[in-house]
Amino acid sequence: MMAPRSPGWPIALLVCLALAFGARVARAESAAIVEQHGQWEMSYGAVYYRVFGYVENKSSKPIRYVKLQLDLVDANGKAVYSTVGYNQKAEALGTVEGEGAETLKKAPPAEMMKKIEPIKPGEKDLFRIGVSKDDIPKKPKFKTYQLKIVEVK
Amino acid sequence: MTRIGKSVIGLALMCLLGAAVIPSGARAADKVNINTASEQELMKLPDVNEARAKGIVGYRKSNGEFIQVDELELIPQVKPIYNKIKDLVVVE
Repeated sequence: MMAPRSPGWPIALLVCLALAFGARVARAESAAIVEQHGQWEMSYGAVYYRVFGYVENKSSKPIRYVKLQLDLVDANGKAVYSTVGYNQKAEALGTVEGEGAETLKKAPPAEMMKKIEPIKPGEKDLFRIGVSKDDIPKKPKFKTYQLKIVEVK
Repeated sequence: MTRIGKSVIGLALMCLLGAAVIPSGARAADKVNINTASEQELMKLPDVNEARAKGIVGYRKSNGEFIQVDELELIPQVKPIYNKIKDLVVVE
């Protein structure tokens, strides 16, 4: 027979969620976007919209990666396309370009993490998040972009 | 007529005169839509010659319609004059 649930379980659940959210926010604050710029680029005949910039480790401990979310937003501020990316040193975790990328992607997560050079306290690292023009909706057209840090580890 | 009434009329006349005399840049209706404009229409823009107009139309054919005006900078012939025309064009 199942024991009746304590009436306090919704409160406990809310406390857990609040703690988890708080921890996530606190981690995100340990890194900051210190420079950013979006522009159109052409590479090998294909057109991309790329956002470049720097993230900085604002904490006193090394950071393995900074995960960023890029939203292309229309004139009403509504996201028409979203994607995520990582700082350059941790690019292997996301969309990887270049030699050795496939090897890194096949490695187990723990093994892959070891290959990532951490961002030292106070150090900056480049990031670049690109979206192929083919993937961007034609309507509504995006007017600008929004970038935020979604995870820091 | 009251003093306030005269002031309001005076202000309105000044605004009308200002709108007519002061160049305030192209209005949306006057702007050239680079997604639909023909070579001839594009050539009405300052410093857009036949080669540049062909460049814009060619880009559109190869890469699909423009999403943002900034994409004009990707066209080598247009890049040098981009700042001259960016406020005169629109993507719709």
